[in-house]
Amino acid sequence: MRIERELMRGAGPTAVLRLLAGREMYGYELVEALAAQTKGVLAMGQSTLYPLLYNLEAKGLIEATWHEADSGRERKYYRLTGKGKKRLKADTEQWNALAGAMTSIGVLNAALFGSPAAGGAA
Amino acid sequence: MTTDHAQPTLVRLAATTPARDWARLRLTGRLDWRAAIAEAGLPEPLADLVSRVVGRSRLWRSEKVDLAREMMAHFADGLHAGRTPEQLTADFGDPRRAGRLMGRAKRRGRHWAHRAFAHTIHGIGAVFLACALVYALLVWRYYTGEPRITRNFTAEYNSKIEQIPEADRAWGLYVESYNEAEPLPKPLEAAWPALAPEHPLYNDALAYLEREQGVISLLHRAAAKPHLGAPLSDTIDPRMRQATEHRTGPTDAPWPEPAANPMLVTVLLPELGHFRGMAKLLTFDAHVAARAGQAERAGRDIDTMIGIADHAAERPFLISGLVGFAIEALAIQTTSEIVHEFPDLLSDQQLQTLAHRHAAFMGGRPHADMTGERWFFEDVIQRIYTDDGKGNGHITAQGMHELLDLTGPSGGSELEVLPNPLAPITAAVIADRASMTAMHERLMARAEANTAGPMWEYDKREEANQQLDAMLADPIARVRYMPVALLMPALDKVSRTVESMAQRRDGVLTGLALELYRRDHGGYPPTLETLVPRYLPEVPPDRFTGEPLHYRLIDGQPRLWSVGADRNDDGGVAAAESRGDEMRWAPRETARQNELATPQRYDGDWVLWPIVYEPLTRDPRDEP
Repeated sequence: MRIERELMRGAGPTAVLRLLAGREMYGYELVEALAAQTKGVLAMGQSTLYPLLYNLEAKGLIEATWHEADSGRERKYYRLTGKGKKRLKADTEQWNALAGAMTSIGVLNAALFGSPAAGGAA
Repeated sequence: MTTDHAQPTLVRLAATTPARDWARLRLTGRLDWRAAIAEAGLPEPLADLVSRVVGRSRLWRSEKVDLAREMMAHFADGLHAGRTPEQLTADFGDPRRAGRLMGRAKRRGRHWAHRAFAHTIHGIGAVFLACALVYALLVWRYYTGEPRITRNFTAEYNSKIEQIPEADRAWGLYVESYNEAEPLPKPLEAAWPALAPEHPLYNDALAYLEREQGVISLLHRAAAKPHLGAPLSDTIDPRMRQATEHRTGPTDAPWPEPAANPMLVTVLLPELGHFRGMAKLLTFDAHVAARAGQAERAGRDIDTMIGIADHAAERPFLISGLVGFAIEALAIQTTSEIVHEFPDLLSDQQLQTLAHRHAAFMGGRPHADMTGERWFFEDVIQRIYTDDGKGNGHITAQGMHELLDLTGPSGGSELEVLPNPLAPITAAVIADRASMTAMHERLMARAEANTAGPMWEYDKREEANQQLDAMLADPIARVRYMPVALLMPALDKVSRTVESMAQRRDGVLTGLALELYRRDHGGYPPTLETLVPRYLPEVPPDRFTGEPLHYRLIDGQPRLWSVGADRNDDGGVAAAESRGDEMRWAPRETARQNELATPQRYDGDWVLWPIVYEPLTRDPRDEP
């Protein structure tokens, strides 16, 4: 399912921050993880992901470092900064509130999404 | 796989080595992102894709290298995961858009100082571009606009002249007098026309006067005509060519043809110079006649001077009126001098006729005619501005040239020193046609209101030129209203000149009334009120105070005076070193300061009658 660009613009950064909350990841890994974990809903091409990563980096929400992987290849790994963690927390709360509101008016299925208050934070 | 960057040249290696490596004397070429892509060994479609993305990013070299490394790592991971180059290329998206977005996002991550610098450069660029656009618009507007000349003021004036019957026009006789007149001999110039019989050159002057009797006859006939009747032209009347060349030297240049519609400010008023010269000839002739007891001749000379003064002032130009004033002032002085020196020379009838003639100068009301000044302005405006048909327009390139011509070859105008590329900008600064016209009309209306008021009310009013002076003190306004500044006469001086003329006229009329009273009663009256109403309709006011003119008898002789610029009565005594300052109005406080600082020039009255004749008995240049 294709998500409208405006919705994607809001969801994409939060999704990336959420993925990086667990551990540091490199670009191709993020592309794959987004596609796999969202069943393709939040899959984004590299031409979208990398600008998104650079924007988050410019805002100080993530930081990047070059590492040599076990395979011997160099990769650029991204990880969440302290500022990024705060932003993820705030974004998560907003998404929960939004989901709750959408559920309460019947846009979201309550059986599938449950109580908005049950949503986890980073 | 791309191979063209596999072996970079030394120059390229040097150009892509960072300063840090240069400092270590190592040519690393670490900033050569193309070489980095080539060396990565990616399949050609992917290497090409990375090149296109990085190439579109508009980043610094170090940033491009970083971006290229990340893209290459990305595709290497994809290949390692079993994807084909074609699949990876297809999944990537639009490389141009990706490069643009990546570049923009990475630039956001630069240090704030870099971003501030970039924004500043962009801002300057945007301002420069906007200025260039505005300038292009101004250039287009400046060079494409054309004035539309709808009026021919010269032709309009001349058509009215042609309606005057030929017999009523004096101009032909004046032309004859011009052609017959012999230029004043050089030796006489310094003392002319106030030579006393004791002057060593007096006989030379008499000889010259004798030769000019034919000219004087022509002047008598001309001045008796009701109208000057001279057409306007930007060239001298061809009938005057020979005499003009005789005076200025022969020229091989063809006599210029008059323009069909000349700019009004360029038309010639050849009569004015001739009239001034002839007025001096007549005053000398009148004095010679008086000494010889020839009353008829002396009276006629003065009468002719008044006629010439009226003819000079006939054209509706300010300068014409001012020359008329000057000639009438000389006629008044001549009247006073002759009546004072030869009290019984002129007959009662002659005195009455002269009184009537002086009273009727300029239709009985000396005034400044601003009609011509309005024509000048309107004519210039129609030649320099476009015309939108609704009274507005903008200045044109042709108009700017006309303006520069008006300032003269070395007029010192701000415009003159401007390089041509600035002309469209200057033109944009100059007020539009409607604003310019409104400003001119406002100042002219104020000037006319001021010339209508008596001098004793000047202290209560704003000086006519104050507003103009204030405007001209501002350099922007000086350029903005340049045509007004160029064409606006010195209005405050004009109004004072008009008042001075009225005062002189009142003086001569009262003086002649005193003389007629003396003849009827055997002595001068004790007061001026005695003259009213038989000899004068009323006692004229002192133009400086509004009170009646002052009068008393000194050694049995009448003296009539205005208190003058200092506004206090000095008993009819002029300043010790009078240079005419007593008759020049100044604000009350300024006049008081002048009087205190330089009493010998300012502390005195303006004696209106008699105007004492002080003929020169020697050449003033011989004085020590």
